[in-house]
Amino acid sequence: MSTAKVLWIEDNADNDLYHLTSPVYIDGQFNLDIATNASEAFYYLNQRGYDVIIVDIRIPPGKDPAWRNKHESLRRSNNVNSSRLGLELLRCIFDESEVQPTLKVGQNLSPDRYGIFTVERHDELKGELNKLKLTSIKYQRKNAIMPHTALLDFIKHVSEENGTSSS
Amino acid sequence: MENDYINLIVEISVTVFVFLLGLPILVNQIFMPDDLRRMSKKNYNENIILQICVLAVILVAIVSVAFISNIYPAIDFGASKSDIVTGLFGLLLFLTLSFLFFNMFKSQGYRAKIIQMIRTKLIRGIRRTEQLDPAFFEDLQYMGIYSKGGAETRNVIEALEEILDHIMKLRNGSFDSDGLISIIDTLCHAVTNSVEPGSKNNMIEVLTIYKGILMTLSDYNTPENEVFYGNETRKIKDCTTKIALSALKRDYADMMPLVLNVLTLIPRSSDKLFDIGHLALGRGQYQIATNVLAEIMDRDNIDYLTMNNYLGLVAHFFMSGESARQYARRSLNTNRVEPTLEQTQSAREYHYIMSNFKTADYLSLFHQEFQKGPDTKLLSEQ
Repeated sequence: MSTAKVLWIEDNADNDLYHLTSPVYIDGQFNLDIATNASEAFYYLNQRGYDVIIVDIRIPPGKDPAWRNKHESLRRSNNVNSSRLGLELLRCIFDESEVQPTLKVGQNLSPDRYGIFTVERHDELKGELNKLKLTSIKYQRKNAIMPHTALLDFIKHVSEENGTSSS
Repeated sequence: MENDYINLIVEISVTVFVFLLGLPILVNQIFMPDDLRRMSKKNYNENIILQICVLAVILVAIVSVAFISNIYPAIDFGASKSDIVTGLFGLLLFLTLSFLFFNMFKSQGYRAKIIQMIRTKLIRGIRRTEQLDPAFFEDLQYMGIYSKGGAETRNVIEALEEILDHIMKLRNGSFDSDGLISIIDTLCHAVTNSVEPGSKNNMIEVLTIYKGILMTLSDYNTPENEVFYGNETRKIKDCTTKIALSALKRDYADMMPLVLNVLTLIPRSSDKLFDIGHLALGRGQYQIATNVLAEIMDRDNIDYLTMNNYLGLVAHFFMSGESARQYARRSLNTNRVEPTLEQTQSAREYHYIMSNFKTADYLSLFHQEFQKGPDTKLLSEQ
């Protein structure tokens, strides 16, 4: 199939950000999966290979007890990252201390397939991303005045940069 | 003089008790939801009967003291009989007021409390027998269907989710399949068949639960035990479609990406995608229809239906105005599909067999229209 596979990790994809998905579908170049929480995201990343993975930083833990426990322990310790489970997801995937590959689908372990699409400022995340050696990860800030093609443009940008663009 | 006082207390106690006899009926009416009162096979008023029994014992004690005092005045209790009767009457009054107070207090949020009670009993039953108690589960189903949309339905959904967790954990993946299917079905009925206006958030919650079940089934799936391809998955497919169609009728368009996401996790779901796309197109909800068309091509190929549903939906797009036709052409181009007469006829045959006569007719017209080529008046098609 000529379409590139995209995973968008975003908890508001079915609400206010719905209008962002329409240009992606209409464009026809990308096949979009949406994960609405960390549990679903981790499931998709272990099941399917993606050309582009767009990560929101503020996502809920979902149903998986492991993610729920992680969220709960961060929240109890008043850690600022308790609501930034997207960052924890990246940490879980790109943590160098892991001996085993962190995902079953090797294709999804490539950092150049990832992009961060979030309301957080880049400088707020910089320190954490540097620790994970994700300094060159693509970043796009969400805001109320972004164009309706913001998601599509960002997906295209990540896709072109990592050479998976079909056009 | 003492006997007159004791007899007066007895009269008052009897009056209080007669009033209390009506309490179970009163509490039953204020505490039990109407639908459960009419059909439940279970008794939710055991505690109230017990309370009446305690008060009856006190009343018998008062009457006994009065009887002895009047008929056998010589019998000595070691304390003044009027003091004993006063003490017993005080206890009767205190317990009466306490029971009334707690029952009135309990009547606040009674629906939520009944749901909690049923949930607890069902979970206890699952632990004991590894199965759902059908009578309690039936009550929960009624609660789901007859709850008001919003918070009330959410309570039922949360209870079902908790029961679901216990069912899924049973026997390490070899769970009660009938129970799981009943829960999937009840979740669907709670958000689609409710007599009250639905709540979008509840529908989203149910779809998220379905997604969780599919993920768990996929984790449990092995070549020896293909649970992911079982009846549970098929039930989720049907229920997701019902929710999607119900959402379309209520104009909850923005939850469609989630619907499509659930369906794309399920094998052989292109027929359901076609149903959703077809209805969306018919209702003029083009954004949803285009989303479906973007997803359906891949599904058709995976499902070995050789583009039958894809071409069927494309045919509907072709008959839905110039812009819709333009999008359909674009989709065909992107997917590098140039439908041959054989492919179109195969799709027509498939939809004819499925009794989608309108689609079958549109497919005949589509092929003729497609052969004419793009409309050059539309700039983006040049």
